[in-house]
Amino acid sequence: MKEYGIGYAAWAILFGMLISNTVGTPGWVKPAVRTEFFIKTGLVLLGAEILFGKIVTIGIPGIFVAWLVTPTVLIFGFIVGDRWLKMPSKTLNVTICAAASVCGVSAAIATATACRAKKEELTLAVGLSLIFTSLMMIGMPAMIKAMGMGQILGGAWMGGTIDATGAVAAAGAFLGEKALYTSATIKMIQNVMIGVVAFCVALYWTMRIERREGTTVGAMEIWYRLPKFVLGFIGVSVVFSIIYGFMGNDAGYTLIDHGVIRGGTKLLRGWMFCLAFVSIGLATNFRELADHFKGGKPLILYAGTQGFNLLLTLLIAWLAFFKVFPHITEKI
Amino acid sequence: MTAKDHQQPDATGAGEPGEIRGWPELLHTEDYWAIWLGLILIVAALIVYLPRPPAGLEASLDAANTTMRREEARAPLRTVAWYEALDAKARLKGTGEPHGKTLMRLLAKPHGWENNPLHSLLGDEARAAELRAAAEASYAGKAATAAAAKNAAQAIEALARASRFDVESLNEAARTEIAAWRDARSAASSAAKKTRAAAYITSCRVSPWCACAWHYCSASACASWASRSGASPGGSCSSSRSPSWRTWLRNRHS
Repeated sequence: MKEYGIGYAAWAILFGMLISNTVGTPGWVKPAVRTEFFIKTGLVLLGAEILFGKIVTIGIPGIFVAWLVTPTVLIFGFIVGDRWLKMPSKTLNVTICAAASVCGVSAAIATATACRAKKEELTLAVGLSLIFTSLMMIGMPAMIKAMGMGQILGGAWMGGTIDATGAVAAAGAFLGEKALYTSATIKMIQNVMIGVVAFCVALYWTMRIERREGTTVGAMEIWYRLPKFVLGFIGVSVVFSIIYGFMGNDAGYTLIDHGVIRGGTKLLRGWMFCLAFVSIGLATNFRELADHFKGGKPLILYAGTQGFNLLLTLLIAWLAFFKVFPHITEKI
Repeated sequence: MTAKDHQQPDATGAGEPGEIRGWPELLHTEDYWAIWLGLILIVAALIVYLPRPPAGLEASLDAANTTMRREEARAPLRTVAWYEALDAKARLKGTGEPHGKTLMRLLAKPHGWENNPLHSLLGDEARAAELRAAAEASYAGKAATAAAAKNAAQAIEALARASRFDVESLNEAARTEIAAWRDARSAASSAAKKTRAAAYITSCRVSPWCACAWHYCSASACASWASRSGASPGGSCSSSRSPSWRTWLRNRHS
């Protein structure tokens, strides 16, 4: 199942839902069902994995692909969902669009927290992301090979579109070493957008969606409403980037990347997310979930947003790596 | 998130009665608790890894960097020697040190399984040997392919070097062969990992004491086993290292 992209997240949610919708979540467990606390702590830990020094090494093409396409797709998806599909819930709309455009589960939970989406809405977005990740991590490398696309363009395409970081690495490794490097680095650059998107969504919700008519929202109000864990995420990223820069790439690789991060914070982050997924399952009600899925609109929205993402990422990656910055591509 | 966190502010921005704002937020809201817990875990990881670098880290890095710089000055392409120096640097990892391995064992997720879900938690030596044997055949083939690819890469690189890298067709051929060697090496390296399968108990990677807990065994029974088998609390649950504990437990329960 793991080879098909069905990882711990899916099992955690499924087992949680199985318990909550059959025997019911036991009362003594309920105080520990703290979905958002686990998510927020996991995202603070995720900040350590975003190292600006490493982002710079792949240079402008990666930033071009990850930071130009991602917000464009998110805004496009949100407008399509709101105006054309008439999604009944704006929070579900933005959570699904964030999952499809940024990086799946992590972005979905950060965005859901920022706009205060319901747990069922988050579950739906996460579920859709897991299904599409599973299909794309198998289909894309096969398609790229069949098309004879190069490793760098293929890697950039997968890094910008496949949702989960682990799935990106697996799909990149299938194509080769350069594809793995390009895809994993673009995904890391894209992960920076988790904090930015959560911040912007919180801002938009405070100033537009939840603002009472005839009132203005002051700077202090925005500060109070800002999800503070985003500051933790960004702060940890900045501090780790400074430490990494101070130590240099070599010592940083040994002690930070393949020490503190891969041997500590990344594993702890995995456990935090796992606890969050179990909590999501334990707090999710099938009936409410079915209500949100009525008419298949979430599926159409996800597929449409991801389809646009695939086209735009391929175009921008080709432009960035082969037309605008070919000298950087040669050095990869 | 608490109900208080969700409350909407009023038009004046003063917030709802009971909403936590200002300095008390630092201790009484979920967002800040997430930040504090995250920071505590991060600081703990920093304390474990930063003061304990691999032995001779600087000397090894200097040697590898010297080779890489020399190769960069000599050739307009990344040579086999350049990549080997890069690989030597890549092998220097904090996670490869004893403290790193211990921490990773403690924090690792359950293993994968194919036919029996229990294999995600328990894997005995017999099964590990089975997995190793299955992986060996695949690894042998991939290692041979990687070795052949390296020889081919070195041969074409030698030709390019002999021409002082002036013949672009030879340089391009060398680049292609070296890239093929890198891909073959990656495949062999992934296969090699599977040949190192070992017995495990996920719930208790650090000490045989928790192996006893796994079997709902009493503390006194554990102590009795430990004293008889001479196991220390810092030992491993791996049955390859402590093969007697399972037999001992079976006898004890029967």
